Amino acid sequence: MIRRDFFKRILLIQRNVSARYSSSDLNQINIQKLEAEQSTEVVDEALQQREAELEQKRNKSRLKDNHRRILNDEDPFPEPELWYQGTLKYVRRSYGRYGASSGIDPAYCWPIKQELMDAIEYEQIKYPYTIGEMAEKAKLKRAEKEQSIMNRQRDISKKLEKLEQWKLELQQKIIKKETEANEAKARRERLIEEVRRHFGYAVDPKDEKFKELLEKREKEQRKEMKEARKKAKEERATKKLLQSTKTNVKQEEPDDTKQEKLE
Amino acid sequence: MSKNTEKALNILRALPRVCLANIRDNPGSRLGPKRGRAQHGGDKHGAGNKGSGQRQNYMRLGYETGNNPFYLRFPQENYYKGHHLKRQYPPLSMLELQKLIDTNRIDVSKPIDLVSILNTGLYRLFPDQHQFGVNLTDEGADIFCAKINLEVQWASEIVIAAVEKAGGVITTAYYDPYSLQAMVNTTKFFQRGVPIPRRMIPPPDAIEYYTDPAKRGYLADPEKVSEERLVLAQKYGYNLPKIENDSEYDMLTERKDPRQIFYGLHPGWVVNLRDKIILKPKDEELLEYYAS
Repeated sequence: MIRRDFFKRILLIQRNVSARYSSSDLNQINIQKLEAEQSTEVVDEALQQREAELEQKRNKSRLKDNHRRILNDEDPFPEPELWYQGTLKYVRRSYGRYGASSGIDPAYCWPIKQELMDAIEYEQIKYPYTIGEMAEKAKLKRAEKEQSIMNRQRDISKKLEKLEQWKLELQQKIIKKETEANEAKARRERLIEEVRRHFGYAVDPKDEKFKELLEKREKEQRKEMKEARKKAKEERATKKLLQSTKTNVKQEEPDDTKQEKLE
Repeated sequence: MSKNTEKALNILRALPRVCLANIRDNPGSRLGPKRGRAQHGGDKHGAGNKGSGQRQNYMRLGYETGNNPFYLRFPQENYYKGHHLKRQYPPLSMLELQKLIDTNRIDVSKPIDLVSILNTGLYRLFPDQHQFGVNLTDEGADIFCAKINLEVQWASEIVIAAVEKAGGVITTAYYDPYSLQAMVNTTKFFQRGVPIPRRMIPPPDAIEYYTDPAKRGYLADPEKVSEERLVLAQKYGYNLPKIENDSEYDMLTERKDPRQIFYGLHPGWVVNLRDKIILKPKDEELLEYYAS
């Protein structure tokens, strides 16, 4: 990292130096021209030197050079002193703050080739879709969501239609269960009564004899009920048979026509 | 002098000059801090007595010394799912906007965007805290009466109706955090000496809003937007002022390019405040990059 920075800096400074060289060349040319034109050049130089000396003597602030330059709103480090002062970021910032007086070529403000390539690659990865594609996707997503909501609503309303019927069924089921329970209770009571009548007096229901007889009677009753059920079943079966034979006789004719058609 | 010698000399010339600021100390010249043996020599140095206080090995945040920590006690809070990634739009009410206009902090004769609102100094934005711009709220919508060309990042239907009823236009526009950072402090940005960036396209979850003409999105079809203006006027029952006949027609119809951040400045330009100049790139590659 640091090494890369270092090389970047070196490259940069070389460029800088070359830029500066070119500008100083220009100055030299100018001076030569001036020299050719005027002969009072030497006097001026001496004056300048004296002025600079005087200026140095007048400066009693004891400020460091860079601090003094900051005070005068100048670039504090026209020549890099520390490693970061040659980095692109620093150079751009110096130009941004001190403009052309910093002596930096404004061409450094724009991304170099590597930076540009990185930026393009980054954008390609971060923004893989165009606005149109994304809008289309969002539209589809929205439509899907709405569709799923609609489907659910339809399901619910369909189920709600059957709600009344289900309520009735439940009610009937409850009633049926109740009546069955009542019947069973009545039956058992009847049995107990019968057994009591058999003994002829009020027997304790916990008595062994009473229990035996009760069991016997219960068995008999169960047998009777079973038979009754069997009988009912048989009756239903015969009824069904009769009905089916009747319908068969009726349906024979249209069946024939169908077969003919098929042939 | 050979070529290599010249090259080496060149590099040497470019290296930083050795000075007091960048030379290393003599080895052993710096002594490490010594523990004093005077008045407070044997003290605990203000760190208390015993325990993690003295040893300064504090427990991690949320740890409850063996209890089931509060932050883990409840298995999920879906209401807050992804809250740290959501885009935030700090509110600015229409009443405040009206006040800014009435106190001459905002120039009505120019299009108003986030930069002009931020430059009033009465609205602050922190892009690094997931803040993405102004949410113009409807407080004071019924007394809003400025005819402006406004660009905000989020606006409700009532706000849109209020601005359009007053004869103005409103657009909702997205800026990515990098562009926002440039807008928050323009001076500081220009002093960085980098070109104005391109505005990025909105993320997939914001594209629906910014392409919606009913929301006056900046990516919506202008014809549909004008249709929606009429629809909204009928919905809220006001006569839509005709912009075509307005004396400030040019100002009211001025819009930024979807890639543009500042009015009048294009991406890729460098603004130097010291020299008061604008520099434009000439390189083909750069031009292509900034134009796309």
